[in-house]
Amino acid sequence: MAMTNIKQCIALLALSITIAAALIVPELGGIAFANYSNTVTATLNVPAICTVALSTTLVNFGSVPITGNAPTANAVGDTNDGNIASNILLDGTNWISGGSNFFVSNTIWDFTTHAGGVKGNTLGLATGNLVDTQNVIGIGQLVNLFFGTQVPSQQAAGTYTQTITIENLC
Amino acid sequence: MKVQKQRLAIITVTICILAGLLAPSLSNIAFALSQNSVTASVVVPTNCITQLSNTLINFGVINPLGNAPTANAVLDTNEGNVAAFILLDGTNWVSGGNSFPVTNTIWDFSTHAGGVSGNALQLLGAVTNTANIIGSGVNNILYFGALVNNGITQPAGTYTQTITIENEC
Repeated sequence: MAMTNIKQCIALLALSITIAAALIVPELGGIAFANYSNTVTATLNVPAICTVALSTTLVNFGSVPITGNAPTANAVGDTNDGNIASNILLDGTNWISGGSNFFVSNTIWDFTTHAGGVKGNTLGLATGNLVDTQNVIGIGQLVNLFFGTQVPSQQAAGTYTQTITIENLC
Repeated sequence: MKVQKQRLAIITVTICILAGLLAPSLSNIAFALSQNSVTASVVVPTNCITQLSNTLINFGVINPLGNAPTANAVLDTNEGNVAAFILLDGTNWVSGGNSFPVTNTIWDFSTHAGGVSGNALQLLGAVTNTANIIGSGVNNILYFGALVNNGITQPAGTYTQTITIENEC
């Protein structure tokens, strides 16, 4: 009697497993495994900053005779591509040609052009203390600076160069 | 006490007699082996699971009009059993109420330490199929860089973006 029960139990168990397997197989076959995605979180920090982008880094005043001048009409565009407003600061080096030179202050600048002559402000010497023009340049704003120069009397002939520094301070 | 000992003796004798009767009876029973078989089956589906080496990229500090070169690596491993295409998309960069386009993120399968060369990431919903096949058990490295706009559109802040890397099979 006991043996009969055991056999019936085994047969029933086998039948159950077979039925379960038959149900599971088509179920799994119907699942569409297609796309697997994962995500990456990217971060970056944009600091508060003012930048200087100049329209040109070369100003050629051409040939200027002694006691002559190049009008304050040579434009250099300063754009602040930063995200806060700033003040424009300026300075420069003396003009140099080999062993000859003349003063930085012979360079005249202004925020407006003066085609007729050298009107405006004298450039200060680069000493590490740039001169604050008190002109505020806003975010994304373009400000034109116009430069001219005058050559002193008795200045030796030569090709003179000068470095002008334009700084946006914020 | 004497009665208890007598009862115990009777029980002991009884058990011994039953054991003596039962033992030969069991030895005569024929235990026939009854066998049946079970057929088990399982379906292993095709898949192409995406396993990423890292889920964070920090591009650090980028000034307006600056960039982080296309050199930030994310290793994508296909842990599945079939080859897959790698698909990409992302969200716009957001910092509070400020944002800039998803396309400012640049990616490539090769690194560009010198700058942001490569392909522009597309907005979520416009998934880009890189047309790059990643085999089963194989890994591919994706490199990411980012560009920041000028200050007019890009106020200071910490910006985040979600990049989705998908293996499609």
